Amino acid sequence: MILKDELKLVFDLAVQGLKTNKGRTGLTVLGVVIGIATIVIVLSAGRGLEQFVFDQIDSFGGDTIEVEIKIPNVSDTEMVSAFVGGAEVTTLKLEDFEALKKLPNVDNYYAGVLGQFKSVYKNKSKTSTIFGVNAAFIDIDRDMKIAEGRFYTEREDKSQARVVVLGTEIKDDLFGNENAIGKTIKINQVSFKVIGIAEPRGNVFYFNFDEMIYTPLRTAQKQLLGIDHVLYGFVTLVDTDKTDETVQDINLLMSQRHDLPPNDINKYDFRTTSMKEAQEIIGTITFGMTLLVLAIAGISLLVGGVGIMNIMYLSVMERTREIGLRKSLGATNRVIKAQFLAESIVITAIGGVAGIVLGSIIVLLFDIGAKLQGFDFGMTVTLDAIVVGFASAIIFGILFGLYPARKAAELKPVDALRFE
Amino acid sequence: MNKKKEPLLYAQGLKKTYTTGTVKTEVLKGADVEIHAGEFVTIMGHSGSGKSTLMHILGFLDAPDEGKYVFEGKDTSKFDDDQLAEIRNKKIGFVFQSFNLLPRTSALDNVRLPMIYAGVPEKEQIIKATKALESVGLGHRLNNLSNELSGGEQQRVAVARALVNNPSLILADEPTGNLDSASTKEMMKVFDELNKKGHTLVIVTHEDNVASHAHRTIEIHDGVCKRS
Ligand SMILES: Nc1ncnc2c1ncn2[C@@H]1O[C@H](COP(=O)(O)OP(=O)(O)OP(=O)(O)O)[C@@H](O)[C@H]1O
Ligand SMILES: [Mg+2]
Repeated sequence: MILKDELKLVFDLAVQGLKTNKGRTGLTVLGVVIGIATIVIVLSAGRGLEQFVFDQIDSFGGDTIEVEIKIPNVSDTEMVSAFVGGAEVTTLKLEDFEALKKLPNVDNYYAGVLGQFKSVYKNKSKTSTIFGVNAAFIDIDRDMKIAEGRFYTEREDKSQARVVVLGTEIKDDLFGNENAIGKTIKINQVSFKVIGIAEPRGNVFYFNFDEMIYTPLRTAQKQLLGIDHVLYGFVTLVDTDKTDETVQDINLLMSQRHDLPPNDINKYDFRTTSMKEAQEIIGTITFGMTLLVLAIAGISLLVGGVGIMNIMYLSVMERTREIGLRKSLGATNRVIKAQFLAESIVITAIGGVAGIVLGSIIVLLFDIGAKLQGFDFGMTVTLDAIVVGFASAIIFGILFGLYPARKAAELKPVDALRFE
Repeated sequence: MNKKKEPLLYAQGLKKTYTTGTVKTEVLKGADVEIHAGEFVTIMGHSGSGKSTLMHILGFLDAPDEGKYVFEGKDTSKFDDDQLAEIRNKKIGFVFQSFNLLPRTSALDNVRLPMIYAGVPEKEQIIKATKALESVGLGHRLNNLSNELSGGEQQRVAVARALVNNPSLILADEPTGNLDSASTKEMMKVFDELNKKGHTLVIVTHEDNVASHAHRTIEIHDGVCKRS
């Protein structure tokens, strides 16, 4: 009861104190608003970015394991230049994936090859990526959808049917507004029938799916590339809780099939990556990035905090006579201290709320802007951004209000009253 | 005056020295004061003689370096900050030469301030503050902001503030120092009435016409008090 009364008293005093010093109050609030808005923006941006990357991975299938070719005994960085220099690994076969499919926790798979070819329709031609992938792709890749026509079947794949599904960009390049379904195009001089158009999908990492031509894996291998290996494949899992065990099972089976020592990953001519693992890695990276940016925001907030302290301190200086008067009227040191602390907290709380609102507006505008540019970050103001923003406001209010408040409380009444 | 009665306060051998850099100013050199309840006393003395210094000590805004100060029968030398705050709040009403009202705050809220610190319930605060303002002739200015009032009115608000907690002693340090003669007259009427109602008043002044309202005058000279 006494505490409640005192709280109300201190709060009333603080509000009165702030009202009588409106100009300075406004200025201080502004400083807090900027600091807190920054925190909200940084946190939301971090979350948005993380979610964006997650979604990108998820579009490959969050519950899948990738198996891809790798040059044995070569580091990752050397491998990139080796591939660019024309190195080929031809040991990964469709049969490997057929064998993997028989593992108890593996549900299904798709495997793919890539090539660059010139496609021709009437007088229009365009060089683009040909993606040879087996029919299960349409079931496994969640973001692959057919806008028009259909995707090819397993049977068409096995019989090396010359059919293609076009990405929207390549469809526009070759056909413009003309209907493409049922038409024949030539890829590398070979005739293919267009059976479907994919829904627009945009860029995922480096792939522009919209300029891609999908064709059955075996058709691509035999009729375009003249190879019998694949570049990579994804297997889907029955039970995602057993991802790590399944990665081991795959490594064991693959090393057996390729006559490799099972325990020496360096010597492998393939690499197994679970998407869960990839998500975790990227999660760690974005977390690190968020921390870094937060640290920067923290520093700017610290500067803002010192500003708050400065202004509160100035306020104590300027109001020295007022403090002396209050003491002469019977204010205890505790009440004076509490009043100035409360003023500081009220300022930062108001600034905090305004900062959260401002930060949220900026986040929303940024998100809309990004969407207009074709990037769906899905950046939203998260609850923890709001909580962290408000909490830091209050903490800064207390932290940086404490010293000036103590200074105010320690003033001797007569010194304060004689202060000019 | 009943001399056998315990005085409201008495001080003996008050000393106060200010040190600025290496310069020491001995302001009070052993001042003795005695004030009885119901008295109206003025303190006079030339500028720099230590009148304000003495008032601050009597009003618990400052402590003497040496000497004894007994207030309502209690030796005040051992009082801690909280006890001092309570005495300033409940027992003393201080009026300053420069009014010292909270700026941009209504007359009523200014007068409420000592009651806020005393923990008086809000309704009672408003009733008492209104009464106090009426008693100094400002019943029609309750909600005016302090800066909207004339100097004389501001000082009367300050007097209302000083008496609102019904203190044992009202101290006023040159309350009419910043007022014109008309306002001074009105101010003195207020003080006379307060004294008639039983309030104990100690007023510092340079003006003889102010001093003429008092029962007696204490003269400060050379750091000690003389009765004149
Ligand atoms: N805090 C201080 N530090 C140093 N010197 C002080 C301080 N306060 C007062 N003095 C000095 O002490 C002396 C007495 O001051 P005081 O204010 O008590 O005088 P006063 O009698 O009230 O004068 P006035 O009539 O001008 O108001 C003056 O010389 C003043 O300069
Ligand atoms: Mg003086």
